[in-house]
Amino acid sequence: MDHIKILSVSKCFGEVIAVNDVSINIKKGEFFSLLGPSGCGKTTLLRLLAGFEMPDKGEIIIDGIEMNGVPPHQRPTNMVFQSYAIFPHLDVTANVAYGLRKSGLSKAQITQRVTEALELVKLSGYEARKSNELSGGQRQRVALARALIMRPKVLLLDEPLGALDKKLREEMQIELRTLQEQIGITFVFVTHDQEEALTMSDRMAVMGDGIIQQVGTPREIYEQPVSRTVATFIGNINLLEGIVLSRSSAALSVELPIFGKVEIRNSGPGRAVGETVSCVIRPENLSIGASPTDSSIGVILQRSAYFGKSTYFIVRAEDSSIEITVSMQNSRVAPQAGSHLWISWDSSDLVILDE
Amino acid sequence: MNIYHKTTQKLRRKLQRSESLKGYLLLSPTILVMAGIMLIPFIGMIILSLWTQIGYAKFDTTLTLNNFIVVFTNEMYRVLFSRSLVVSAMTTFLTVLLAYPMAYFVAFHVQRRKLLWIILMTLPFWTSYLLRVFAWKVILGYNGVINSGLLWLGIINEPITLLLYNPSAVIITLTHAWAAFAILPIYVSLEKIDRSLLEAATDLGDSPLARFFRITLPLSLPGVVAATVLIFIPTVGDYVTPSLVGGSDGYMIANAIQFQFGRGSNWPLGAALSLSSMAVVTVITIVYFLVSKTLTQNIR
Amino acid sequence: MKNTSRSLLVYAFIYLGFLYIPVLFLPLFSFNNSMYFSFPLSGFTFEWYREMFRNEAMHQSLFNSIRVGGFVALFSTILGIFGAKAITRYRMRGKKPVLAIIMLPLVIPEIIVAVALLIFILQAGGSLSLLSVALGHVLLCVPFSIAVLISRFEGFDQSMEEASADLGENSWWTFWRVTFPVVLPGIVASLLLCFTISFDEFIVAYFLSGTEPTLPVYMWNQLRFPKLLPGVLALGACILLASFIVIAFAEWIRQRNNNMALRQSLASMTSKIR
Repeated sequence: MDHIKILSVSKCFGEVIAVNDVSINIKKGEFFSLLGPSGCGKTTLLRLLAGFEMPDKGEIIIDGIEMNGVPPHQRPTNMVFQSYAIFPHLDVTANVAYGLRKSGLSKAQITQRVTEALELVKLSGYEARKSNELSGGQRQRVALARALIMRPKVLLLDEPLGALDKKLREEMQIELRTLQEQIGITFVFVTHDQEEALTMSDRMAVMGDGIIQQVGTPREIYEQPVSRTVATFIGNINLLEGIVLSRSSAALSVELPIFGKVEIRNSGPGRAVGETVSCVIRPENLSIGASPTDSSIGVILQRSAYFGKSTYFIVRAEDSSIEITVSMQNSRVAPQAGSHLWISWDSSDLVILDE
Repeated sequence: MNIYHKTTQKLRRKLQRSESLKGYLLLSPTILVMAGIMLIPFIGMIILSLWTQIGYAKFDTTLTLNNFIVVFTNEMYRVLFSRSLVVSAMTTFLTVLLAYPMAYFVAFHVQRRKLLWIILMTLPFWTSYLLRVFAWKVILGYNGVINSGLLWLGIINEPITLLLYNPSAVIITLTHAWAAFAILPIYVSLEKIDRSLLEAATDLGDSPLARFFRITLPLSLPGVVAATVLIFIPTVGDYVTPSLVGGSDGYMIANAIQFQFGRGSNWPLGAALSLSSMAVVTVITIVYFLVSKTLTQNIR
Repeated sequence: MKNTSRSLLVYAFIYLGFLYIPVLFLPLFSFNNSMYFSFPLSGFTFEWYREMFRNEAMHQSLFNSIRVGGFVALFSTILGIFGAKAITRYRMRGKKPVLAIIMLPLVIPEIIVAVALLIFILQAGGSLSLLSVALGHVLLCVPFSIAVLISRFEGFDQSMEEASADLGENSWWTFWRVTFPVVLPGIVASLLLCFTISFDEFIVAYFLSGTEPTLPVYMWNQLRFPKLLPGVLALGACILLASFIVIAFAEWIRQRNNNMALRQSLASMTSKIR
């Protein structure tokens, strides 16, 4: 069942098209991420869902109700702001209880709800603090509790982890995901951090220049990118241009630099023989060794970069100046630049982009 | 009903979309009041300056530039204009010059209790402006503090009359009365300077003096410019100080304006004087702004 | 460096002397047993303070000034709130020229504002009263109010209002529950500043007050009569003392709040360590 329907929504600010004819369906109880570089329109899309902006064109339907013209305070959504927007003149309790003024609950019930909400975000004991007495992580929890206490159908999160340091951010990623599974409501999560989106989401949309580039599960997005923008934005990738030599019903035979002639599964639009196509392969899907195997190709090591858990080797073929990157985990050897190595791959990891 | 609903929705959407419209709607009370009590009276003043007074509260409403011709040809007004400008310029210069080291001291050499110093510097300005000016009459007067003190000490035999009722007395008094308007803007602009810039200058080999002239002074110029304008403009139009301590040698243009609206009873001429002095002040201020802008650019 | 610091300190004290000594003569002479302001002092007296309490006309003018000041502070601050809010909240076309017009009174000599309003009121057939003084003062105060409030509103995080709307409040309640409390210190500062400007303003009041003098206009009239002058000095000394107490009180409250925040954060730190 589609919980949120975004139907060809567009939004302009003056000359700038922030969101351009975007359509997405989000399922109930899904953790959905909007991923893209800054200025790609992902925050505008979130604000369109919250009702802070109204679309110039298109419709947004939440839970079967058309949202155009519905102001933020009447929508079944609540938001965690990038700056957290904790009210500085109120303590934690008053911040969390802010939205319950018109709820008709008694004081005792409100206290009860606040206690529950603070327990949910693991912030019990901080009831009387003011916002300037809280750390970044604690403010983020207050913002979360303040939104969740409203029991929204959809929780909107605008880069909520952006201001935290790396370690705390990784902890909060797990915690947020656990919390979402526990309460089971739909989360729409905006981030520019691709690892964060890959780790946390059920499904995600990659945005660029106001357009949805690709929607899918993290695995689909990572392994089967459809466009150059998606492929290069998510992780490190080798991009190679090749020429189609021949085609069959399921596969293309392509001539690539370094790799030579390869057979690639063709899921996208039909390609003509002689056409130029872009292929990608992840560095970690290539393997590298000091001696040849039956299907390997000899390369020369240009330089390597050590990242702790893995090492990147930048190599080129003897007869080509095009470089590709191979990553290898836990490499115990450190070959010298200029040494001869052998790379091999599984051709099912090569993907043709549909440009 | 449906059509009505649709049009209101359309209007509401338009309002939600147009930030300018919302902004001006919110700004409109302020704009209306300010325009009502500023622009309309100014237009009235311009019209009046083109009329001629023919009796008590009676005007010949034929439009003429005669009043402006009088303002710009009469020797007396030329003297008053130039004296006002010189006195104000001197006052502004002295006030800024004297206040700068004070502001510098508090910004860079007071580590704790900065606020106490700021309060200490601004406290005298909580006394009535009139009384502050009057205090200088008490100090500089014939029977004043300086004269009676010097007589009592036997340094002089009879009171010095040179102290009061001249342009210098006006300058001294104004320098005292407007000090806060120099201290605060200069202090704020000094306080805003990133301390690491000064460390960088030292690191790159500047002596403290060179550092002051190459970094601190240029970066504090916005405060100096603000102080200059905040002092120069009102002092040109000050009427209290020249009346109390200026004497007839210290009369300024504001006294002439007041005279035309009071005993002189020539309102159109007074209006022409007001407009002319405003025009002169505005031109000087604009020229000053442009000059200071190019100067600061050259320093950079 | 040490030397610079010491000579600057010496200069600072000389400069403070220049600022304070003239002002301190006023309370000094308000206790002097003579109507002439000359040395040596002739004797100590409370007579001028008794005179101050007896002087009905002075009370009336003080009362006039407080009324005008109160009205001006309130009205200018309300206009300032609208102005500062619109300017900091919305991206508007032509914002700069509009703002320049509103701020214009800052760069016009007061006597010209006074004369323009005088002409306008009399030509429009109105009469001079405290209301005309108040209008003139509003004109002078709104730019100051906007300047003070803009600096406060600029630090205001826009998403706090959005958070309030998101949590179910309409714009009216959002203003009262979020915007107003957060910008309250700025509003108080604007009220105080506008009151002070109006209370002390002479030139506009002199031209526009008609038969009801404000305190500065009353003082001006007394400056020519030595007999009544020491009473004016006594009042000036009282006003100085009163403003000193207000500042000290405001500062005390600020410090106390700071201390409280400090104590709370210390407590939270210790609890975390445990």
